[in-house]
Amino acid sequence: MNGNTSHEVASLDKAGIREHRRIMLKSFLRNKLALTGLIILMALTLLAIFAPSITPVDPYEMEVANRLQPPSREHIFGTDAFGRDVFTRTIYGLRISLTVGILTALFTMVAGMIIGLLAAYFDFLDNVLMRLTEAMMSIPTTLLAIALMTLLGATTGNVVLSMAIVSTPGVARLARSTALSVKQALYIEAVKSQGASWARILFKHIAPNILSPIIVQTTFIFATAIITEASLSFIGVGVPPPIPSLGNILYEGKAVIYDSWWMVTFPGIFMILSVLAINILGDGIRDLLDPLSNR
Amino acid sequence: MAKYMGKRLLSSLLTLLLVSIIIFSLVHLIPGDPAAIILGPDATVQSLEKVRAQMGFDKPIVKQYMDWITGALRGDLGVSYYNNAPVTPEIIRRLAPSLTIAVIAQLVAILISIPLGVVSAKNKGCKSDYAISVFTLLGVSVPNFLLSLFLVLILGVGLKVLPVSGYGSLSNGLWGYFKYLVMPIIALSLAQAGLLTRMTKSTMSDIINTDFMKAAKAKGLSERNRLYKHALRNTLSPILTIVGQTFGSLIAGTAIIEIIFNIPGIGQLIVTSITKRDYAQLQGIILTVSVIYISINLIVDLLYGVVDPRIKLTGKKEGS
Repeated sequence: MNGNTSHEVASLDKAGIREHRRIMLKSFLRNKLALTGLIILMALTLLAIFAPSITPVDPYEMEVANRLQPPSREHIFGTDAFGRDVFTRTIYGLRISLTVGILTALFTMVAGMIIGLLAAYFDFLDNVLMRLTEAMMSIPTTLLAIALMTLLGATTGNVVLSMAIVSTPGVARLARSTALSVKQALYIEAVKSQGASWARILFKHIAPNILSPIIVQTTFIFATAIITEASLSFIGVGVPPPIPSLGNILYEGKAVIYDSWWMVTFPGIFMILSVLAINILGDGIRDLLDPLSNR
Repeated sequence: MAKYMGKRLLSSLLTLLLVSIIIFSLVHLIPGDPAAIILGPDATVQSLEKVRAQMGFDKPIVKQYMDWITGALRGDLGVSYYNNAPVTPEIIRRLAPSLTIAVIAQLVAILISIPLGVVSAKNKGCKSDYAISVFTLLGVSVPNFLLSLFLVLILGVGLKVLPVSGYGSLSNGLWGYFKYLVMPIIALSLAQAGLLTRMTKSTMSDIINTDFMKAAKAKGLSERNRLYKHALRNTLSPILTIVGQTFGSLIAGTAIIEIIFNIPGIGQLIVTSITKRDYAQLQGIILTVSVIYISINLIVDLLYGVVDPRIKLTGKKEGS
């Protein structure tokens, strides 16, 4: 899979790499499902980025006289228990949820790769780090995140931090096992014999070759983080209200589910769309990077 | 076999030790004096001292951990910060509904996903495979609490066929008990089935292409016999692994869903522990759930020996 020998690496000149990229892009575009995922995700991201220009309403503005109004021309997704516009809160919520998700995924990717690479390279660290990650993975992730949130306090930043902490062990173990197989490759032996430092070997020569599985894993962490954020809101340790996150809006919607179907339906659809888009994009990237898997 | 079992048991115990240290340190790092949390803002210095001595907060932290863990080994997880009652009985009482829901959901998911996975692997590229892929994708992408909310909207509020929330006891008859569990179980098992179907399908497709399956075909065995007797047996260990590995998130998922359906399980207990700052109870809950999770995975690994006779011979799990 990653068995690039030094000969192959040398023969891959610039034009070859460009050709390789063109083929990858072409086969990605041919994968209609993954492309749909990408398009939906991009549309949702644009909606989130330009939320303030799309809706002129303030997501915190309350009109108590207008509380729990069903969808109408004025409020297309209706209003919530405080008379706030649900459409506005949903796209602002999407903004928070996508940001929290992507930050969690990026933090996890970086931390997981560093830990995994160090464990793969230094035998004395390997045992300690792998035992520790195994123990952390033996505590159900949502529960560990809840404990961390109780410790750190409910802020948006801490939601990212605790979700990143609980998902790092999985990525670290994946990075380690992939790095262990790359470490055996001849070209690593070659750069080692040229006197390269461990940091150079790890981060310049091994890291790029373990990226594919990590990127696939990162997309799934992105999707899971959006779900976990909402779970934390339900326990009361998530993004603190009145900040609109998809989780917060759904939790508030739960309380009024008897008479306001719109409060859970619309933010719910946006959450499903986001998770679905990221998942099919992730599946697409996996098929692209590793054509043998699942085909 | 004995060597494999011994090794696996030892590593589980080590994991358990580390898990208990992690949980203990997390909860003891929460800022604030626990004695002050227990007594509230009006506490006098004397009463704070008294509570500290009584609850052992004045002892060194290592001693506190040792006291907690030796107690836990005897089944005593300490006393509540909130009402001074032992936390173990309450945790066990609240675990019952949660575990019931999680176990039933897991079984339903297995029953749905094995046939779906087999059909999907057999008819690769056909319409049925495509339909099943859509189902699994939705199963993985629709969070179970969201499915719960939609079920409440449709079956509870709209059609009024099932109660929206609550929990009945078995004394109300079987239906009086189960009518409250139907929606939580559907919500949990569909998501779980999505995951398991994917797993079954991918292992099954690998196995269908192996030489021994070709040999079975050449021998003239029927397709039914080949798939369900020869191939399925070989997919059991990966499926078992996933069943074990996902049990933790299943229990956590149950905890979240309980809050939607107002079921008095561990989910609500976690929420009350946090709002009442009852950290003794919180650490007890997390430790208990982790112990259950670790034990299930241990059992799964030991079951490998039964499901996969190769382990009996080599004393090693394949690939490790």
